[in-house]
Amino acid sequence: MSKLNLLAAAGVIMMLSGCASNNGLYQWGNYEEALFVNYHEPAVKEEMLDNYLAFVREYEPSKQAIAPGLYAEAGTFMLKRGKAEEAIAFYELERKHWPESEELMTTLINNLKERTQ
Amino acid sequence: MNHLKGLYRAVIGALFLIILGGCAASGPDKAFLQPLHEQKPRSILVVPVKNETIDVQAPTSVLATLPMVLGERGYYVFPVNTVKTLLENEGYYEPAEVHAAPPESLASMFGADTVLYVTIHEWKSQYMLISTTTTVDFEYRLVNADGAELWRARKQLSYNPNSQNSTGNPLADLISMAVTAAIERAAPNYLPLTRTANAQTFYNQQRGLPPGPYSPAYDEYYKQLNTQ
Repeated sequence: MSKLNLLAAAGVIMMLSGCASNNGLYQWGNYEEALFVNYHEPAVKEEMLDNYLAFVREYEPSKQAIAPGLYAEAGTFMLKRGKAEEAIAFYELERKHWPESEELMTTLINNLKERTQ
Repeated sequence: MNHLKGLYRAVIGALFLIILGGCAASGPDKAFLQPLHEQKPRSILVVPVKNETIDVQAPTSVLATLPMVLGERGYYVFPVNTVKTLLENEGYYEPAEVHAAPPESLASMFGADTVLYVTIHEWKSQYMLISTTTTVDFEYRLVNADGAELWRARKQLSYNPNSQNSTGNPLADLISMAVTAAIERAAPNYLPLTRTANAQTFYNQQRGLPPGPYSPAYDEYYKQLNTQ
């Protein structure tokens, strides 16, 4: 009987958490903070972007994939720093991971390749 | 003892029913969500946020909070800063200009299934002597690549640190209120409030966004929808 009670209680708890839980699909690193600082805090902007780029570069595939858009944002930050080749490499990673980005990434990559040639 | 057992079972049974009922009664509003259920978009282009307040930091702050909530809902979210940069290269410096452009051309320019327009109607902190109330008011509009509106929502939310807790000691309360007001003045609670507003809007059980294709809940959601 007490086993049954325990099971019932566990069931209730599981259902409660089932309604509310969100374990997170992706790794986001410091993306939100990097955006915020990029727009509002020029004094620490470059440092924050370095941290962001380090996160994206050092990301190792695990159970949690890197979030959509993060490679592309790294590409655009590199482009702002005048590093077109690294930007292209990040745009290619975005395209490889997310088929939805293919059209945009291909346009960006082709334009950059034309420009650097 | 048997009597107690019966009562216990009845209580557990009632709890199950309440919880089940809680989940089921808050099922999706099918009429309202029908356009989304038909289109089943995979990707969302979040364009720069339109500002109807005088706070110049508001639109980029809100923009920064959107990718996470939409990505975790299971959609591909176009990189918001890359999008903003590209739009500026095309001559769209003002979010209002982007919002006024035809959604069809924005969607085709980026290869997006949908375009999300967010407008800030209110973003303010009211400073009182010992307390501060922060209020945000957002309008969200999701438009299909063909220009048809798929979904919309409006969310107003306020935060007042005083209403959260009391120590039961009036003097201690007064001091801690003064401290919270100072913190609030230095860094008003906009970002947490914005995240909460986004989450309550997009995850709303009746009228929020259905789970996107990368959500583990996606298949189950549409299976349930079709069997009902």
